[in-house]
Amino acid sequence: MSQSSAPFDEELLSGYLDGTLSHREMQRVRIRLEDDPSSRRLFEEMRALRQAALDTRFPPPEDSVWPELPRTPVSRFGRSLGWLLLCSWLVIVGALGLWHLLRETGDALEVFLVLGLPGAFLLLFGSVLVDRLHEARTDRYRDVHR
Amino acid sequence: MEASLTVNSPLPLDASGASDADLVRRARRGDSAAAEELAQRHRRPAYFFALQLLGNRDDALDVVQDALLRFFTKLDRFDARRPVRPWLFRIVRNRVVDLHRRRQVRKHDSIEAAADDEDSAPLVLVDEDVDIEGSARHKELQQRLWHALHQLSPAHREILVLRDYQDLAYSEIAETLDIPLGTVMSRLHGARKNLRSVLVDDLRDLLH
Repeated sequence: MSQSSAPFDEELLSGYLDGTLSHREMQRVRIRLEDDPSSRRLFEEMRALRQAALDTRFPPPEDSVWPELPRTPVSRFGRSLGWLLLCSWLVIVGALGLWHLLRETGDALEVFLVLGLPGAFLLLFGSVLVDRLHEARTDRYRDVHR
Repeated sequence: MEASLTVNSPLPLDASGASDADLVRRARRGDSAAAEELAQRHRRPAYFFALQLLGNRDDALDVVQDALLRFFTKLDRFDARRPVRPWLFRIVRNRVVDLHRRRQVRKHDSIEAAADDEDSAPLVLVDEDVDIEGSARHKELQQRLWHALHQLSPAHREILVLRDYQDLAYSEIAETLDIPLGTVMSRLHGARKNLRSVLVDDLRDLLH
């Protein structure tokens, strides 16, 4: 099949607009644009839209809006260590407290008073998690790869 | 001494003329000036990228501040030989997706959800006094293009923003979106055709 009779891949128009085609592909597009008014019109409209986008100016933010950021190894290390300590403390203290409570008290009211609040938070968190998982099935960003 | 630093000082962009790779290496070793220059060099493009995806200045600022924090927190993992911008843009884009997801869940839970159209028109953010070059028609086209952009799917919107607003090369787009290089042109063309179909009447009025 000769080059001219091969089906024209319309995506080449975008490649031509963006200057990413090989010399041979560019030649094909030029011929197509000369011969086919609908391709020419599509190309001109895409070019006009790209130019309009490139020319659009957006108001920049004030310099004062940028916060202080931890960027040095010392501050990064401190931040990571802080989170690690906090999480470890919560897990260890929580586990120890729970173990002592269950071992040393037989009073149901006392167990309720101590465990009621964190239990309630866990249930609330769980319900939000279930909703999120349910929502994820119809997530319009599902196909947006990360 | 903890050397967290402010990025508010009036250093000009590219003050040292150093490459991004040099700045990344120096920032990793604790050079605050290098980190500051790196932030100054890339925060504004990152902000515009977020703004173009979200259409809201406050959201864009929140997203970029969060992204910059993550960028510098994870600087040790970054390969300094690679370009900074696609990596930072990728973080920004992931924060944008997360924000949309959170909003969707909230909207789903809200009693106003039924009355609230998910695809309602985005906030117009191009200021009246913003320097938009060209004729009134060109300006009108820019405004309509901006509105049309926010009617596209997220995948089409982001690739159009990266190419036509941010002017990134195909290789940088592929890296930002984590897609094969060969996919960029086909997705971009699909996005452009969709955009054109949204703007079909406007294009007839403004171009022909």
